[in-house]
Order: sequence, then structure tokens, then C-alpha cells
Amino acid sequence: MIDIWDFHQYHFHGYCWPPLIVGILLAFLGLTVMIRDRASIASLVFGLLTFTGTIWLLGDAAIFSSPDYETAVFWARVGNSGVVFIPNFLYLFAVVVLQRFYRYERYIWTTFLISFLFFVSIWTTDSVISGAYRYPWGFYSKYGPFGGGLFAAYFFCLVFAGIQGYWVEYHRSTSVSRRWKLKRLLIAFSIAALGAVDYFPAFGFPLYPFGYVPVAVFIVIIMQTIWRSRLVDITPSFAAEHIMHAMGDLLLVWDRYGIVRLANRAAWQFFESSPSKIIGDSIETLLKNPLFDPQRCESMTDKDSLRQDEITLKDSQGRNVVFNLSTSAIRDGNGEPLAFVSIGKDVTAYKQVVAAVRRAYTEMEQRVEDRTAELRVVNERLQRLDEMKSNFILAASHELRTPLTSIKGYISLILQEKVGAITDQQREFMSHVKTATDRLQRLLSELLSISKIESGQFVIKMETVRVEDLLKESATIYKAEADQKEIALNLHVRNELKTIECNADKIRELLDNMISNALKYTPQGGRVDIWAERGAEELRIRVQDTGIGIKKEEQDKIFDPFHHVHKTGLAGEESTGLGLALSMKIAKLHHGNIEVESEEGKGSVFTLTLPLKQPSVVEEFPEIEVPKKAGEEEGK
Amino acid sequence: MKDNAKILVVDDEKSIQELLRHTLSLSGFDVVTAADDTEFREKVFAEEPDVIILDIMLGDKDGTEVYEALVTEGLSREIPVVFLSALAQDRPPTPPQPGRRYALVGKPFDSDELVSKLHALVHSRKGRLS
Repeated sequence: MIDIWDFHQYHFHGYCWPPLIVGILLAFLGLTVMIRDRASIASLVFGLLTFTGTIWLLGDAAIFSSPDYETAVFWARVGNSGVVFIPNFLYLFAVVVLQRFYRYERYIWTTFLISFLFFVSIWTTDSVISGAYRYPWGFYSKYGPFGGGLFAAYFFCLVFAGIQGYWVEYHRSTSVSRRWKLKRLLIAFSIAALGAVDYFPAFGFPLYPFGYVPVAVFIVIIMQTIWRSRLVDITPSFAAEHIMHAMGDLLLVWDRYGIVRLANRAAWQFFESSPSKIIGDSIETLLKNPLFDPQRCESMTDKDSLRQDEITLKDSQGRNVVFNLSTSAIRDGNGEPLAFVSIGKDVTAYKQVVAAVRRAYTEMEQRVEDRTAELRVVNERLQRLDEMKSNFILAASHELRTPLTSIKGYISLILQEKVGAITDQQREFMSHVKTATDRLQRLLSELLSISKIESGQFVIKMETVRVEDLLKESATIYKAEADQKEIALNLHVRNELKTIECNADKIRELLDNMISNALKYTPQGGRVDIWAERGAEELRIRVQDTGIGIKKEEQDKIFDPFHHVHKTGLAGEESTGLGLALSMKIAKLHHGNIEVESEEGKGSVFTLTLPLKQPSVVEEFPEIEVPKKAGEEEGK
Repeated sequence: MKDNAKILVVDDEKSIQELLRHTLSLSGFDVVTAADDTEFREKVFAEEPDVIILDIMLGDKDGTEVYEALVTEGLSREIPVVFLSALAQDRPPTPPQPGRRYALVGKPFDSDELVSKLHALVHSRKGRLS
């Protein structure tokens, strides 16, 4: 056996070169894939596959050119050391590309074990490599009948398993690009499998081992496939490159001297330039912004945080485009900045929207201000009108009461015969005048009360009042009148009435109105019943009479001011037409209500409903107390 | 003590002055009238009335303020005051100061009730002075 590394002793001839060249090309293919798709399992497996194929073909070249038997046997063992792992890596590659590694992991490890056993057997026994044949083209491996046959069977099983995987996946896949890729792989590996013709001379058939030819075709097909499509899975670098170019934002990587080293597609398109023109350009020149001059770049090394800048660039059509530029440093192991990454987001539309919103807001503010000023003017006018109305009410009250005082006073003097005796007729006439004056006084009082309530000037002061006391008081006041008219006046209390929040004077006035009305329109011998009942949240007071009743069509109008159902009572009492209107106002002031049920000729029921508690009231006007008509207060 | 009690009527309305003059005279009172704060000041110290009937709205002046001003000038607190108010149902007079005696009568008033009230005030004052 010669010195195997003394290549001068080898007989290199024409038959040696093809496997040698194809072996080298195969290695080149494997290295290309591994470098292009680093950190990819598929690329690693593919690289190892090509490596084992390279060992096989280089081994063949060495065998063909071996000067003696022993050297040939050595290279046979070397070459087949690669061959035993070819089916292994073929199968593994198929599993990885078809993304079924975890499903067939156990089989993968089993095949590695088997291949390793064959590898050991090659170097320790003669069962696989039993020697070397001598053919016209040189020496060649001689397989043992048992070990070699077993290995050949193992080889074909795995190769067919891999090809079958491609076949099944090809027919299953619906993606056009994936089917194209799988078809190419299927064809490539099927052709590569034809390299098994090299087994013939290993078992003694004098057939030139042209297995390198299908391998060469395999290389061509695989190179074409790789050129058009990724053969391997998605690697971080593969994904990163695609992400970089798929980004809508500008991406620029520049070094600490301000020189652009990398730019994405969005950057080329914006600057209407090619990568070659941008890369190598100064970042300051590109962005036309002194923020990015080299000296400032140096200063950025002092900051760890992300730097945000807003810059305006002109696009290819000369339009201003505003970018929000985020810049961060890429540092080495010592923390020294190596380069900077700037990502520019086009915020022009956002800025325009913000500016439009600001303008709209400013405009709205101005409009609100203008409208507020208008409302202020209107409000002032309304306040003046309100003031005028209040003053009118007060003035009217004062001015009307003064002559009324004179009229009543002199009537009283005449009727009391203080200035001399009067005749019966004079008395009668003066009585009519007094009645009319009293009516006028009541009318004035009620009218002014309603006006004040409607104008909002009347803010009643609430107090806690015992309901039964109020009712008894009113019933007592009208008892004499009822007795005189021979009308039964009765108060019925259904349950404990306790207290209620209300203005006692106003409720008293309201009750007086209701009872007085009932008595006015109930004939002699009739009944007026007052029912009082306290509910969970409200008090109900019903005044029921057996009077003349109210027509259906009148019932909706009886609470209207100056609406007269009957001009006078049954005893000739004159009606102002404001009593019920004022009563309803008082009820509403207390957040209550009055309802009427009536049947003409049979009687009426007026039901007053009052809440037990009043909502809190914010007094806007000074407290107004209503002393009694001729009340006396003595201060001590 | 005078036989007839003297009432000073202070009201800017002539008709009210005349009505009260007639009503109170016929009821046995001597009546003096004043139409404004100046006349009020002159007559209250000159006539020394037993009771003052004072309109709250004395022209453009507040009758109660005029009264208080006179008290600070020396008007006796013992003289009762009956305040007349056309707005008695709408607005109370200035709350009374402690120690003052007063009544509130709304317009239009009941003459009999007014006369009764005046008699009561006069009697009450006589009792205190005696």
C-alpha cells in the first residue's frame, strides 16, 4: 500500500475526472445552501447530504486512480463511509422539508444507528466491503454478498421512503408554489436515486459506475429550484430580510461615521434611488438634516434610549413628507456602538389629521364662544324681561291693592253706619259692592300667586308637617259653613298619617280650595267626605262630594285658569276661576298631582297626591314667607 | 295721659291717609298724618303719638329703614308700630329688632281688625307706662 496522500503515485485518467468534478460541485452546492440559509435545520441536513455524496464521489475518483489493491480497498472503505449515510440524510431531508420530523423522529434515530453500524462494519469487517474489483476504468469497491446486499436493501428502502413522502405531499398540497417545489424535489431525488446503478459493479457486474451523472442532473435541478424558490424552511435571516423589505417604513442602517450601510425597499422607493446609490451615501446628505451629522452620531453613543426625531423630507414629487424617525444603536460586546438603525414612519397623514382636528377644535371653540356670547346677550335680555315682569307683578300688586284698600275701607265705614244711617236698599247695594270687592281681592291674590309660581319666583320652603293636624284645621274652618248649608262634612283617616314634607301654608290653601269647592257645589243635605291615606311613598287625600258633578268634556279643562264650569256656587258664591288652577300649581310645586273623577248629577272626587319626601331644592331666591292676612308679630 | 290715643299715620298714598283718618277718628282716635320720611321725622317728635301706622313702601324709601333711623335719633322704642304692606302676602318686612313692638297688617285690611289691634296696643302701652 502506497502513501495514500502521495498523489503522484495515483493514476489519474479520464474516468477519474467526472466523479471528481461532480463531487466538488456537490460540495459547492451544499456549502452554498448552508451559507445562504444559516441556522436552518434543512440547510444543515442538505449540506450533510451533499457532504456524504462528495465523500462517495471523491472516494470513487480515488479508487479509480488507485495504483494498488490495498490503496483501492482503503478508498473503497472511505467512499462507502459516505455512501452508508446517504440514504440516511436523504430520508432525513425529506422528513424535514415535509415538516414531519417530530412524527418520524424515532425512525430517524434508528436509521442513524443502522447507518453507523454499517459504517463500523465497513472499517472493522469484510462483510460490507470485502475487497476491490479491477475493471477497465480502474479499481472499484467489492461488496460482500450479505453485508453489501443488506446495505443495498436498506439504501433502497430509505430512498423510496423519502421519494414516497414527496409524492404523497405533492398530491395533497393545494398551493401552486409548493406543488411546483415538491415536484422539482421529487424529480431531483428520483434522478439522484438512479445513482444506485453504481451498485452493479460493486456486486461484480462490469458496468461503468456512471451514478455521478444522475447526481449532476440532481445538482442542476436543485440549483434551479433554489434559485426560484426557497428549498429550505424559513430561517430568521430569511424572514428578517423579507420583513425588512416588506416594511412600509423606511429602514436605514448607518455606521458611526454616518455612512449608510443598509437600506430597505421603502427607502429606495422614497428616494427614487437604487440600493447601490443609497448605500455608501452620508446619512446627513440623504436625510438633509444636520441632526444626523457625524459629530452628532458620536454623541448618540452616550445615550442608551431610543432617540425620536421628527424630520421633513421632500418626496420625488416635491411634496413634504413628515417622518417620525426612531434611531437606536447596535452595539458590540463592550457596549460600543457599531452602527445605528433608523426607522422612519410616515406621519404626514397623521399630522394633517391632527392639524385638521386642531383647526376644527379651534373653530368649534370660537363658535362656542360666539354662541355663548349670543346666549349671554339673550340671557341678559331674558333676565331683564324677567326682572321687568317681577317688578310689574310687584308694582301691580301694590298699585291694585292700594285703591282696593280704600274701597273696602269706605264700604266698611258705610255699612257700619259710622258716617250715618243707611237705608235697606243702600245696605243691599253696598253689600253687593263689598262682595264684588272681596272677589276682586281674591282674584288679585290668586292671579299674583299663579304669576309668581309660573315665573319661577316662588320657591317654597318645605317643612315637616303633621298631616292630620292640617286636615283637621281645614275641616274645622269649614265646619261652620257646612253646618249652615246642612252638608255633612267628615274626615276619615285610613291609617297613621304621620308627617310629610311640604309648605304648610300652601297645602292649607290647597285643601281649603278643595273643601270650599266641594261645599260650593253640593246641595243642602249632601255629604262632603275627606279621605286621607298614607302609602309607601306618597300621601293621598280625597275630597268626595255628592254635588252636581262635572261634565265629562269639562273635566280636562277645570284646572285651566279662568275656566268656569259653573259661574257661581249653589248658594250664589262667585267663582274667580283660578282656585283649581292655583291648587294644581301648588300640587306641582310639591311634585304632586290632583286628579278628578266626576259624574254629572252624582258628585265629584278630587284626589290630591303628594310625595312623602321632597327632592332637595337649591334655593335661588331669597326665602319668601307668607304671614297671615292681619297677623300680629310681637318682638320681645 | 291724653284722653284719646294719638295715632300717627305715615303713608305716601293720600287715599290711605284719608281712609285711616276717617276710620280711626270715627273709632275715637286722634289722627296725625305724614306723607314722607321728612314729615314723619318732624311729626313723630312733635306729636309724640301713642302708635305709629307706617307704610313699608314709603315712596322710594323702605319704611322700616326710615323707622330704624329715627330710633337711632332718639325715637322711643316703647311706641308700637303697625306696618302696612300692600305686599304682605308676598314679602315680609325687615325682621323686627329685639325689644321693638310692632304688628304687620296687609292691604287691603279689615278696618275692624285694625281698630281692635290699635286699642290693644294702646292699652298695652298704658300698662307699661303706668
